[in-house]
Amino acid sequence: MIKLLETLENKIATISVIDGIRPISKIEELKGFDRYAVTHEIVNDAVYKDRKNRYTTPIFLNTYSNVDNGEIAVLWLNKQIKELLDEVDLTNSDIQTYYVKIQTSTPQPEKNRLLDCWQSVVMVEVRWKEL
Amino acid sequence: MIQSVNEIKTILNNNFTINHTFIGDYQDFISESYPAICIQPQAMNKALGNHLSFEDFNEGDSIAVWYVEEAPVDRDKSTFISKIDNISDTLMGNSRLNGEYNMGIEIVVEYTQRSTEDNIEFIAKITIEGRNV
Repeated sequence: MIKLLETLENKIATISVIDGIRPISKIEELKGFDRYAVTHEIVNDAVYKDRKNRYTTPIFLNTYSNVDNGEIAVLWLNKQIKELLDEVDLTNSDIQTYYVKIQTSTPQPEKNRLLDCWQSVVMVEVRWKEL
Repeated sequence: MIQSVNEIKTILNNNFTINHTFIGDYQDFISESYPAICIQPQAMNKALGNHLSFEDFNEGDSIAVWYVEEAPVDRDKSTFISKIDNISDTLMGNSRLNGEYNMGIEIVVEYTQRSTEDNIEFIAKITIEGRNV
């Protein structure tokens, strides 16, 4: 699971405008971020096709933007993440992915008081095994 | 049965690019890489006795071969369909399979629809039926 999150963080970090990626439990560390940020939140890790060591894991990617028109900018960030991750192969020396699927996202941004920014969510499902 | 299964596995691996082969139930099958095949025995029929005529052989050997390919982004199936044509022709025309393991071989191809719960794959179920000799 750690390897999956590391891989996912590294992949999302290739979007150069993103200032920080943290687990949702460390959202405080993003206070005062520059323009764009992301937190990830694991929903569960069900076993994929009843096979040992294979998982299907839905993950929430919370997207944040504090630029002037943040409610629009956060949707632009959603689009970048969807294009980057939909049907991508994240296989590397640590994990093998069978499928990365964008499930849904919220097109209506919300105000996040903690980070003083606009927030939206992209839900992605990853089917994978640890190598 | 295991001889027919192994023969089908050998024929397909020798004639086509197959990157992952699994012998077992399709519901347990995960394509570790593409193209992949899953060979699943379905039924066998044996009987003791003296079979003097051709008609007395027991029919009912059935083996399913699931051929799975990664679907392209535009989901166009034409190259996949011609691949399946080639595969069924190769199996049908194979003399070892016809002569040594089965008689009166019959092949049924079913282009199964991808379930929305599964990966973006093209799937064909090729059922080989015959009688064991």
